[in-house]
Amino acid sequence: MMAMRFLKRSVAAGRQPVTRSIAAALLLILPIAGCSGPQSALSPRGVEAFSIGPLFWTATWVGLVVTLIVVVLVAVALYGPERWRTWLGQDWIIIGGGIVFPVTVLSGLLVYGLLIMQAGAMRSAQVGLESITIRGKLWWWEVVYTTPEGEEIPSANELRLPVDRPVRLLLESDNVIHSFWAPQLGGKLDMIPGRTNELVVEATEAGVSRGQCAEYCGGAHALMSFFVVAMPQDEYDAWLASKAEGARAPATAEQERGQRLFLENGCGACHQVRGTEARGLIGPDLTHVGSRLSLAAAALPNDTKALMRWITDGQHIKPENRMPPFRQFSGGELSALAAYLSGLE
Amino acid sequence: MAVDRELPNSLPRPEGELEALERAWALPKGFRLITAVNNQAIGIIYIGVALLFFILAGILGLIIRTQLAVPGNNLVGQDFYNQLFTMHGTTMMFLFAVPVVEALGVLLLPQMLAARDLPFPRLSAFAMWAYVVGGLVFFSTILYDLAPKGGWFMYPPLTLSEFSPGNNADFWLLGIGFIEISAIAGAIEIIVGTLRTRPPGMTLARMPIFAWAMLIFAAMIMIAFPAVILATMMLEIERAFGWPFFSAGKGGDPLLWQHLFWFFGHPEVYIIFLPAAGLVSMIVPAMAQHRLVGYRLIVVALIATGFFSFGLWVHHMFTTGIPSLSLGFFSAASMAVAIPSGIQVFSWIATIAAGRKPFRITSASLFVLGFLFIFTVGGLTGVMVALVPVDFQVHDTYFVVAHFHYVLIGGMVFPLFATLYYWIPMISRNMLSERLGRWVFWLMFIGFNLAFFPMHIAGLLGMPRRVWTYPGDLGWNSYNMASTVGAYILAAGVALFVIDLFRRFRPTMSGGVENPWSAGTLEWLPSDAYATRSIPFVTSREPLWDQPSLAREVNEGRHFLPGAPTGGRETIVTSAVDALPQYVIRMPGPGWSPLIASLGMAGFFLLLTVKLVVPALISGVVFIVAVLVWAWSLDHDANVPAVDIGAGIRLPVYMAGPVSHSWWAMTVLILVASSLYLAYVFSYFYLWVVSPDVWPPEGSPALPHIFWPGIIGLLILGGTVLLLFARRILPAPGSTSRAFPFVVALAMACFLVALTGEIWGHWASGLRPADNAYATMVYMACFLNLQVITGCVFLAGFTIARYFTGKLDKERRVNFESTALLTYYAAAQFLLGLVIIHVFPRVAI
Amino acid sequence: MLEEQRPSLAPTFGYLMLGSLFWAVHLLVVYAAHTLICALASSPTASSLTVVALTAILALPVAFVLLNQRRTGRWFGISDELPDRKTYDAISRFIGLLSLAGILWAGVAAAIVSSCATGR
Repeated sequence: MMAMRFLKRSVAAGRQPVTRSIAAALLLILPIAGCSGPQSALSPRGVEAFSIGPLFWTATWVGLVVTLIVVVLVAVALYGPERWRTWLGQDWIIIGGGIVFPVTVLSGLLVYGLLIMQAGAMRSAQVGLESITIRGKLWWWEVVYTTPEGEEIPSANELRLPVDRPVRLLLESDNVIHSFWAPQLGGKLDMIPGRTNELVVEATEAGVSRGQCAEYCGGAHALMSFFVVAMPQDEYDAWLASKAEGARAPATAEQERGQRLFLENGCGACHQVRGTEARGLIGPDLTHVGSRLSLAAAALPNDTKALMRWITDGQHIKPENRMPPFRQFSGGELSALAAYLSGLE
Repeated sequence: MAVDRELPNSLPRPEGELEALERAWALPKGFRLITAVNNQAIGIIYIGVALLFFILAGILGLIIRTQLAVPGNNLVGQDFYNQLFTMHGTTMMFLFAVPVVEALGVLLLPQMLAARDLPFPRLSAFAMWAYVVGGLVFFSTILYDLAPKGGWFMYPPLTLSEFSPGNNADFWLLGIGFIEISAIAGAIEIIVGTLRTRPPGMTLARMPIFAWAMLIFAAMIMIAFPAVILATMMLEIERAFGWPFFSAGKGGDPLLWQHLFWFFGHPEVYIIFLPAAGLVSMIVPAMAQHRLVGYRLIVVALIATGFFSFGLWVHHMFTTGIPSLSLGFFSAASMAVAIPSGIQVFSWIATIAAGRKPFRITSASLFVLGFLFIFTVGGLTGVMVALVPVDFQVHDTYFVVAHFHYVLIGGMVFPLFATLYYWIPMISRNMLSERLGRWVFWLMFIGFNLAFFPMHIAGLLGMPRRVWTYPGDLGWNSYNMASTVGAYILAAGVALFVIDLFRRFRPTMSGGVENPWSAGTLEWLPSDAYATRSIPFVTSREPLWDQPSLAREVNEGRHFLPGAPTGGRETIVTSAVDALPQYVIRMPGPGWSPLIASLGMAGFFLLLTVKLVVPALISGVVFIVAVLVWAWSLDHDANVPAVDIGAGIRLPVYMAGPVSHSWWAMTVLILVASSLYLAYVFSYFYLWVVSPDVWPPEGSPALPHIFWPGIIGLLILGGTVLLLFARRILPAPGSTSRAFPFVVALAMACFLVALTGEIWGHWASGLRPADNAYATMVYMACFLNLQVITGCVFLAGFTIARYFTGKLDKERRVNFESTALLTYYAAAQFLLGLVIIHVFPRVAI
Repeated sequence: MLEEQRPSLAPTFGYLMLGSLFWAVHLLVVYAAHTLICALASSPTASSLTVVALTAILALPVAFVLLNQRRTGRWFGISDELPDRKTYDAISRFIGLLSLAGILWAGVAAAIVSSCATGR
């Protein structure tokens, strides 16, 4: 029970700015220019990442101190005064420095690490959490939300989360092994064919961060990223409700032309645009592609220019990706297509 | 023993004694040098080729660093980059690190033990040539865009044919497969060599630390490598024939590969590190001119590391979703393995401090000191990744890349350079330049830290491993640029070393630089192609320090075995613990057979990979013929009188039974085979735990009636009894025993019939290996039995041939004993398999 | 000099490595027990209790050896007269100590972390 209370406190303390300012002070000592970055494990914005932070910094400090001790002892052994050297050159220094000291320090670290693990176990033991299924694909992420009514809403390459509410991610793969990692939320967890791994994440503040596949999955592994958007609960609910609807109808003549081209050129064989005849399930769902922050699993920004490049030249941007290049379009057709897709908000 | 005061042999030495020794051990001349089997010659080529691979893989590393210098770089493409990092890791691990350590064992061990050679010189030659040929062909795949690209860990399903069509992955599996065989051959050699060819008086407690390290290194290879051999066999079988070991859809599990691979892969790190640490434990006392402080604790550290390192494999799988408590066990073990490293670090510090004179700063000592610093840092980041939650974040990021380069380059490459500076005088007419050595060190040290320290931070900032490109807005740019600059500085240091090596290294068998460091161990005795003139009687751990006249006495031939009494190559075999002389082993000289055998084996594997079946089979036949030719000459005439090695000790020159080195080698081989089988047993039960519902699945054919395995078991027992009987009817020397060959043949027939019956039983029931994981494991047991029984049949055929040529009798029976030992093992494995396959599914819930 | 060869290899190494053998067995059985009990019986309590019990069962003999080092040595054929006896005893003792630490650490994990949960 003591352990549990300690855990709760340490996790809660982890969210306090005090810890962060200590962390910032440490950063000045280490040659780290900045640790922010949208994919940095050092600037936590999730409960698990916050609980790991202090453990990481403790271990870092221990490591720094031990390294200093070793360096000083070596210096003394090399150049120290005769008396100090004689004192160092004995069996007991090995027993003290090589056994007693590490056993003590490591016992502390081990227990600390186990307590943080147990905190994770308590988080994941919560029942009744909303769940989101994420499937690793070659080389993108399928993200499936479930509305309160139980309707499944497929999306891709972006994870939207409510702030301050734990969500259970169900991680799966039907091809090779991937690993889901959003460093600001917490640690990674693999997506392994034949299994469903569960990861409970809880964003602590609203904002955008980035994640990436951490297990080498062949081919375009380097270009398999995603954005995490944490939003206040009410905004999240509104967002989810809007995404539960089918695709927006084309608003301009150009978008209408784009939709026709989209359907006539077989894009629907792989892509789904809910509310149209495009029902393909091989590639990412495009029903609301225009509202996403990126294209091609964060390989490109989401704008019309990038869309046009992607359609014709995807193999150069992201080699080996499963979408063949579509070179048959004229410039006008391309921009119509891009206009249609960007309009799918 | 009275020999303490009186030396074993007296002066003057008889005329022609030295000449006979020289004649027996002379190196072949000219191009025939490649048929040499002397450990120094083999060792030098072996190390040279390993260094070549170090440089080649280093160049791949430089290309990687150049590509990553700036974000969005297009120097190399995605596909080639994936080949690059796969080959960089694979080559560094399998073609550089393990071989170079084995090579150092081959070169240094016999010298440190004052043995004339390792007990199986041709096996060393074979292991070395197999590695050279196979390694070069394997490495060259990068030039033809055929290199594997699944990462050095080759995780399925990515490496299954569905996701990795083409031969690239097969090159990895088969190429690595036979490099593993070469490593195991080396390990057998090192174990028997260390335990049985020590000089009289060198008890276990007086062994040089390097010998301890190599002993544990070889024992670890015996246990670790079979796991990855099994895994590579299974993956290749799944790729070629679709047996679903790793496919989740049919009850297999991709994680099985990870368990097997890391059960090898983690100890592998320590397999590389322990010998390097052992070398440091030899260099530090010499430079401090003081005995190693805490010798016993270092031995403790080596043994403990050997054990603990097998309890860490899951820490490569912390993020696979294994239950927390299991992770906790492995986190604890990962902590435990840090303690032995601490012991060693403090022991070296204590030894440096204990020297009466200040520690001598040579190039070798600089590398040792650099190692101390880098390895400490790497060890501590190791503690960080052993903390499960920290690993959740840093796993598979550049933090880990930084960590293991600190451990591997710090823990192994720096000691290796120290080793080269320290021991090259032993085998070269010149030392390397100490002045350039300082440049080499500082370039490497600064370059290394600049290259790899920033990677810690890049990883923490979210940079994953194995990415060929990265966006410029994530804050990783400057760290990557720094790493690239550092890598080039590191490379400059290595290049400078290579230049110095070409300038100064002049290999020689006789009269290297004479003990330039005033070291205390036996490798610094004056030596020649025959090693030392006589084999010293040892009374302490640093004989050269404690017996100041030893070098002179040994060189005058006043210690043991000062000549070549049988006219051939010999060395003394001593008891394993207290090093009492037991017999004189006769060893083969130069020959083509190991070289041709290795070419045959390499050809077999590589041609098979590119599906040239017929040439592959021809290569296989060449391999077998060469091995037969080689083995034919090994078992000497038993009827040779005992020889006098000095101090009135007369030793036999033929030995059979449990004391003989061949018995020991066969025992080690059997241990290897049993670890392979245990890895299979683990896999069987592992897959059952993962998918108990398919064990067997609904609708799968029933097992054959329980009588069926009963009969098969009786056949196996019958074969074993027949062999026991054959042992009793071995003919006396000079006579014949007509029944003997038939009994041996009948025993083998029992095994073959049993194996056929077992396979037929399952096949007749309708079970097919590709059906599901259960069926796959059933047939895999048969396949493993087939392997061992094939070995037994070959040995038995050899034994029968020896009998018919009059080379086998009650005394001269080593061939028969080897056959019998392996067959008894085959019987045990077969029977255990029958119980698992036929009984377990009937009783499992 | 060919007389009785003692001490022989297997018992000597068995003695040196005694502690680590217990450690290895411990890791194997607690890992297997935890996995099997969770997979087949899905009972976290039973699993935790088993792990703690196994830890106690395997830590005790190691502690016993540490307290009776010399006597254990004799069982393994390391006689009091053997010149290297002290070295072998020391190696065996320290291996035992480290292994005991390893065994207890794994046991601590069972005391802190709940069984059968993936805990993410």
